[in-house]
Amino acid sequence: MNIKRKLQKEASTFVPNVLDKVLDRVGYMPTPKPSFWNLKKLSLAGVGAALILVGAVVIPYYKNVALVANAETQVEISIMPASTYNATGTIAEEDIPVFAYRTDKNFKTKKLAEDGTNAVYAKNANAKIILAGIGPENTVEKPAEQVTLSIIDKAALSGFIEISEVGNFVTITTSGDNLANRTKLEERIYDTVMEYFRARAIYGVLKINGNNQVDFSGYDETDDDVDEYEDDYSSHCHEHKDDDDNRGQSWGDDYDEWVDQHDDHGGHHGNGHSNNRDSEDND
Amino acid sequence: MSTKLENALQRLKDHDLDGLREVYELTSRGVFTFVLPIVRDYQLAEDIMQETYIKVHERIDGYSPDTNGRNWILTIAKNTALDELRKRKHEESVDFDDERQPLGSYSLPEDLDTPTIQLANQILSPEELEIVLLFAVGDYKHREIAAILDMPLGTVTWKYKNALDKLKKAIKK
Repeated sequence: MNIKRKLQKEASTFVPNVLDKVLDRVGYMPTPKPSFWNLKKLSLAGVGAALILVGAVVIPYYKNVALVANAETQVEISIMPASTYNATGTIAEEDIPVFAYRTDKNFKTKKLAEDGTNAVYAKNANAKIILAGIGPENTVEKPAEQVTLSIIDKAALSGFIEISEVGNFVTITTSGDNLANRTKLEERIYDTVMEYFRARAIYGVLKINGNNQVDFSGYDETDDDVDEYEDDYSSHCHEHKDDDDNRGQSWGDDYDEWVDQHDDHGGHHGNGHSNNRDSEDND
Repeated sequence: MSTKLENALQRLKDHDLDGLREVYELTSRGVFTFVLPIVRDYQLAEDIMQETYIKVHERIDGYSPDTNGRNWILTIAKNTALDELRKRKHEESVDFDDERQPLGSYSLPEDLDTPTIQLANQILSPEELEIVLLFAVGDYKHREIAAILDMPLGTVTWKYKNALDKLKKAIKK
């Protein structure tokens, strides 16, 4: 383990936790949940108003109005491997694995189809190879950041994120009507993935490309051929198993500086991933 | 775009005390590593950290959303630390207590299970130690450390690299 990671590991022990004392001194008490039986204290008019409110919520529900539909957030992940980023010439779209999934209001991934066993749509062959490594069934009803991390981790194991190379860019595009949900999800994913990159000293940067339409076009609910890519995943892993042998030998300040330079979470910009290197350079 | 910290401060300003919890979680490492080099005493830094967050709560009405949240908190922390040092200096002059910690090391609890940090505390210069703690423990970026210490960025990265080299050699021994 390198020195910086040792120090970071010791940080949580080193920094004292005074939160409870602070909350105690400022008189913090968690807000109690209001009791339903407080209704008894309401006037008749108040009860009437409450019933009207309940009716307003329940009746549309039974009319099959999807009350929680607005809570859905769609996420697209595209992974630009460093060698692709650093290569000259036009980047072929199929070189960049792209995934998409949907989450519910609790940021758990939703099945792509009612009778399906998969929550992640792998858009191209490289994405299918990576998804085969995770196992599509392992993506259902899982926290979105966990699924995102699984994708990135398997991408790293199979060489689509090149650990020792500068220039791995993961772009997260989100869409959905609920801005607060989307922002919260973006923050969760960002924190999880950047922590992973930093912990493993991977030259990787996550870019958030919020408020862009996630593209599920081309997704066919009957398309379930990911299993066919299991062997491809294994062979990719075999080819890249020694990729991180040199880790820890060459990076130090330059790694942190590089990540800092590209750490542009605050900039929600662009229009989805691009196969044009100039637009990546501008980022 | 507001950062998570500014959002949490705004929640606190709106009398949501969960905002204070979030502010603490987002900044406590940074505050502690910022205060420790000023007071050079772990226990005192802990007390000042506590006072800082109580003041953040008390003064939140004076916080403006246009202000950089972390700088606002660090200013409170710094003033609290300096006030405490002034108070102690006055008491010490009355008590004729001239005991000081040796330059370059902080007074740390003996039972702290942080061998690398303790080694750093023994072998690094004051500036190197401060940079290492701000960067690796406080999660500050090099350019932020340069601003805090009023040093060129190159000096900060150079000192940080030297410090890591010293630690590596000491560990190998």
